[in-house]
Amino acid sequence: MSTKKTNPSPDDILDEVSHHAAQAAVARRKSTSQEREWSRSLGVKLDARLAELRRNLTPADPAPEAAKPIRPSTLAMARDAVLAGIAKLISSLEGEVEPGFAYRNHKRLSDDDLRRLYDLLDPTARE
Amino acid sequence: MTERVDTTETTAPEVAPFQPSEEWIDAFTKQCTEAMRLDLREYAKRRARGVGRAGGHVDDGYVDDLVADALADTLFGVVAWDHAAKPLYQHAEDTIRYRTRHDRKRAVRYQHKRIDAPSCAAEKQATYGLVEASLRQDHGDETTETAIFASEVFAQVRELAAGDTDVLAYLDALAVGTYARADIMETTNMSPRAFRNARDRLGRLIEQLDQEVVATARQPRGVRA
Repeated sequence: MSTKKTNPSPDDILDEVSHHAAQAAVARRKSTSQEREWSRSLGVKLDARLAELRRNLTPADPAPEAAKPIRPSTLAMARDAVLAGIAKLISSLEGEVEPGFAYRNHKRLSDDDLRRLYDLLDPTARE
Repeated sequence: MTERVDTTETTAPEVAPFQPSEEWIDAFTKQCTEAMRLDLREYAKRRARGVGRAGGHVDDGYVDDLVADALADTLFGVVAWDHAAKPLYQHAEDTIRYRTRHDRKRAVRYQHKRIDAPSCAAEKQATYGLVEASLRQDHGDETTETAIFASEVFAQVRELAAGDTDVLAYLDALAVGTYARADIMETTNMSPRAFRNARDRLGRLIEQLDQEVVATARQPRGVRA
């Protein structure tokens, strides 16, 4: 593709001379260790911005949903009954329950947390 | 008289933050190598000398900033890079070229602002010679100083190249607006090798010119021509 410019101004010509001379210098460049160090340091800063741009591409976490109310029938259950119900549900749903639920130390959960877990695992329709 | 500062709030349209595609980020990451940054630095260093020749203040920091800003401004969307249209090096080189040209023009425009400088147009006209008056007519008042400066430098380069027919032919091609390598080779009947050699010699002439300018600037005032 031709890039001829008609009637270039003196400044256009000087700019072009300077550009060609600079390109010639690039072709025979010899860098010092100081310049290489500067280049590496600049690379680290640019990488940080690139990482930020990449992070921005990942979808944002979904907004937290408010917990659904505990079913009255579950609320009426005592802690032991809830624990037994959870154990039964986990064994019946083997392989379908997330390990986070299946292997949780249930003893450290509050009664209401256990009831919520029970509601979550119970496949029967909500009342 | 104090300058009036406009404090009226303007509601600029909301612009979405710059967020390039994954392909764009991959292309930047792949192309922005250490070697590419060093090439850009060499290019910027040579271009910066032109700014210095025009009276601008340039040092290593200025050169470093030219490269860092060209790349960082691309990552922040200040300058747009179409990764499908041109390589990152070409884009950054274009950015540096544009900015150094702007800085050079600015340096030329403000280097002669003395307290006893002619203030009215007629007074200014009286200080110009025939060549300057002709340039003034060709390129308008605003660019007269830039045009004069550019013509002077170009004449100096030609003077330095005296006897080197290939470099003179190269300069003649540039002077008529032939910029692309293939076009220059066709106009001057140079082989690729002869072109490369001529460009190298041109680069050295510019370097020589820069060194002469630096040497002159270092001389005490009374000794300068």
